[in-house]
Amino acid sequence: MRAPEPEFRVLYDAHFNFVWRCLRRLGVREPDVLDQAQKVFLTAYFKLSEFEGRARVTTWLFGICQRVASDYRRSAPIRREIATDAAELDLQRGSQAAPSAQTEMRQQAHAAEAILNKLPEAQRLVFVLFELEELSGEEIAETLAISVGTVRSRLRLAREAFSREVKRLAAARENARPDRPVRPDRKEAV
Amino acid sequence: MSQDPERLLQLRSPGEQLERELLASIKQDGPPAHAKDEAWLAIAGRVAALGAAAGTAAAGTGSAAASSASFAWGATAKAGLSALVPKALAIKIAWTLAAGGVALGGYLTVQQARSTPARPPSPAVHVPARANTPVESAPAAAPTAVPAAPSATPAAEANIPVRASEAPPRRDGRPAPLDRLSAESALLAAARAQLLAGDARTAEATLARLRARFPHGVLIQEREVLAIELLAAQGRAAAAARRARAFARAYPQSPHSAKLNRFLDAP
Repeated sequence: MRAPEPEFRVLYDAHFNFVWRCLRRLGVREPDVLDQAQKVFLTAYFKLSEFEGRARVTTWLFGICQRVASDYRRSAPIRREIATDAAELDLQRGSQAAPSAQTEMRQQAHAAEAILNKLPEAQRLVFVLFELEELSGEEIAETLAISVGTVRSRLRLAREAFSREVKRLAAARENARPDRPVRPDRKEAV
Repeated sequence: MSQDPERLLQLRSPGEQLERELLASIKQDGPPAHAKDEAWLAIAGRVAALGAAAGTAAAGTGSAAASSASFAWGATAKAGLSALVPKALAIKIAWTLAAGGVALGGYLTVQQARSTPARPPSPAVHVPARANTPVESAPAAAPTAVPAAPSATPAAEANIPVRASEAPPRRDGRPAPLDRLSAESALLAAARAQLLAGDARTAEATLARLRARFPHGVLIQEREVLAIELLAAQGRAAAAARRARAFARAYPQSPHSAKLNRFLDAP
């Protein structure tokens, strides 16, 4: 029988966090991310013989993450919607109690996840790579095999959508505040 | 690049404060401390299990030597890896961990359940190591066309126990996704080894089986690339070129697309 080559372990060590983050940001739920990360690295292991170092290793791994996350979303659309709803509920409940800083950070992360889940896939990829992975426009163009102009326009659209969703959720959060003045004569105020 | 806009996280205007907070929170989101080792244990288990399964099929005895060949970790892979990781880093060998990983693989489910008490149950997370991976259509005989990795340490390999058969079967009786991936990989590796060994006919049959069994498999691109290489090996250059063009159209972002350029010269 056979153990993975030591070099593969080095590759794994160097990129596990990257793969984990990418999967999360591409919509894989936290309870599933470990399983999907294994899938990414097993795929990488088997595909390695065909990887000829033409692309950077992160570009290559990101491509595998994209495929695995896309399969995941196709196979678990319902679970994903539940996750999105749960994340939104968390956000709206967030200010009802006085949460610890850590809980608050977690709620913020769930809220951000819910918003990312609402972006169209093409925009989401560009947004994640630019705002979170801090790749340059050119690097993103290379990673996604699109032009720099397309990167820019998708980024602009993604930012607009992100900003819109943040405002919407900020309003929802404001409505959910317990100290918000209650006006009994206008129960349905939104 | 200089014309890139400023990142939201670096903007200073007060208007986007909540946007920045949300982004910062997701940026801080990372794997829990134990995740990396847990996932590695499972991966090492899967790799060893696959090797064992293929080895059994090849030699009828589960011979370690036979399995390593069918795994298709060829010279190209080694060269690819050398390009990816500095040699100095590769000196420290993680055989002990890998061996421990396989030994612990059978207990992974328990370990995961214990380490993540707050999480909802997720059947997909349970990835126990199994030696008897269902690879019934795995290579009947994997030719040793691919040289075994010279770094393989026989002693270390011999020490790796596979606690495979202890894995619980899935309730619905269907193979787990990783079992499917393993079986798909084994078939692909077999087809590749057959082609490398010059047995294009058997490779073609194996590819046909792979296609029938995993029409939407994870390794669909690799299967297609191999099919193109097979056509070229059979002297069917025009067909290979046609298919390579179709591949590049279907997967423009694939790292394989550039590699397939060499097939495009045919009319």
